[in-house]
Amino acid sequence: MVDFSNPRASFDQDLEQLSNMLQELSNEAIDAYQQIKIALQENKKDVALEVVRHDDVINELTEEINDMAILLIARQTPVASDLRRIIATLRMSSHLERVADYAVNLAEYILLNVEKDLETYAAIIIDMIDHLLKMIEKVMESFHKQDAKLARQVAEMDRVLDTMYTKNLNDLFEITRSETTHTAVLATQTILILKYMERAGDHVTNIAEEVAFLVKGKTYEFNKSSVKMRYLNDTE
Amino acid sequence: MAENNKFKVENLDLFYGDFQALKSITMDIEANKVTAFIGPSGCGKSTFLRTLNRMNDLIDTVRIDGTIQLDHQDIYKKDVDVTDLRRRVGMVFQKPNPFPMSIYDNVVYGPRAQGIKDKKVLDEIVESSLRAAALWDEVKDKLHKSGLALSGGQQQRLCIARTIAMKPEIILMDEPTSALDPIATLKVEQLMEELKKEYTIVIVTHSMQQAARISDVTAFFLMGELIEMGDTNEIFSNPKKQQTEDYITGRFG
Repeated sequence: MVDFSNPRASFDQDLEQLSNMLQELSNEAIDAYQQIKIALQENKKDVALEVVRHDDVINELTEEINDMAILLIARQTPVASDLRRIIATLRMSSHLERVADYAVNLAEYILLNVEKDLETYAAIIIDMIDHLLKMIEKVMESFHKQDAKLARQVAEMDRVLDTMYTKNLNDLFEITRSETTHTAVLATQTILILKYMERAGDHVTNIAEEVAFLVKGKTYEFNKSSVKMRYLNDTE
Repeated sequence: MAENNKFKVENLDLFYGDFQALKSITMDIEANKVTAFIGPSGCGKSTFLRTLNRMNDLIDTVRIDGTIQLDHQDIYKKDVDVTDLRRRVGMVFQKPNPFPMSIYDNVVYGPRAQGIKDKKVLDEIVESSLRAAALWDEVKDKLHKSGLALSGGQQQRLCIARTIAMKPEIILMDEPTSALDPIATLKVEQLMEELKKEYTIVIVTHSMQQAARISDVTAFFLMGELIEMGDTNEIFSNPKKQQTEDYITGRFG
């Protein structure tokens, strides 16, 4: 017997699958950062190398999400919340892919400094990673629950990450000016890495904005940079 | 009434005997726009379309309450000339219905009935109407062949030309492309884009994509009620009512 109670049942299954693929992508990104933590804590070159290698899998998964989204648009001519869900997923996947790319940058940093002074800044990097991972988990929760309020909390968490970054930046900046060349180079590299963490947080916030778009049907900008805010306040 | 409104409908009820087919419909229809009516079968959208040129008068059991104004004039008032109303508010139907006569005679049928006999005037009406219906180039060498010999898509454009020949202000279309193939459908849709510059178009369609493609304003009907009406971009990207969302996304359980 054909069940006519939901004429879009098969399309709904496809949408479900698309969401699952996005979840898988976020799992992959989270996993990459977990590996980075291990590599940092245990000074493990091979673990960092594996993160670099594994990036291909993440890129392929992102492409699969793109392909599926395009197929669904072409075959199902989605409208309203269906269309928003597909478009939002498409954009979220590209943000997640970028977040995972920053893990690769971290892996490269580890490869450069392994067996030297990796432990010097491991703790502050891991702090930022832990915070970033909480943001990713929360934003995915907000996506599955279609909860715009929860998504907005992610933006607040991002402000905390920004604060962590600014504080570390000031500390490291002092070191680049006062210490020996070798120490200054490591500090400079670490500044870049922390900047990547901060940027990763921005991408997670962008994902939160996509969740809000998907739920509300309007475009949101959760985080304006403090510089932009100050500038706008001064001039308007 | 806003300056650019053609119709103003207020609290319109329509009964077929005891059955209430339309429940307190209130809406404005803007001039030089394509307004699409969507909704499942039996929702009242075609019934409502037919109230706009009083086609429902032809059914004995129909009773109407409420008002419909066309350019501020109540079209259901006793002294209204219904024939003149239907000249101003032309109609194109689901199945192309050319008369069993030549293409030429089809187009001038209305003008002749109005008493125009001058061959030169009639020739001009034929050419301008067929041009406006984007059919002229295809039929100009066979104007005296039967309209029934044309393809379905051409027949429908001939019916549009026949409507245009009466110089209407509004063209009502009741699923005008449901009997046409995809290319003929797109031609009629392109034609509507062009026609709305001079006419006000109201279309009933079962194709959600058609409504999304061609209309400026979309109205969603359900069980005799107007559920939601608004900017087509808004209706198809972020409708306000859950019933509209369920219908346009195909989840009408």
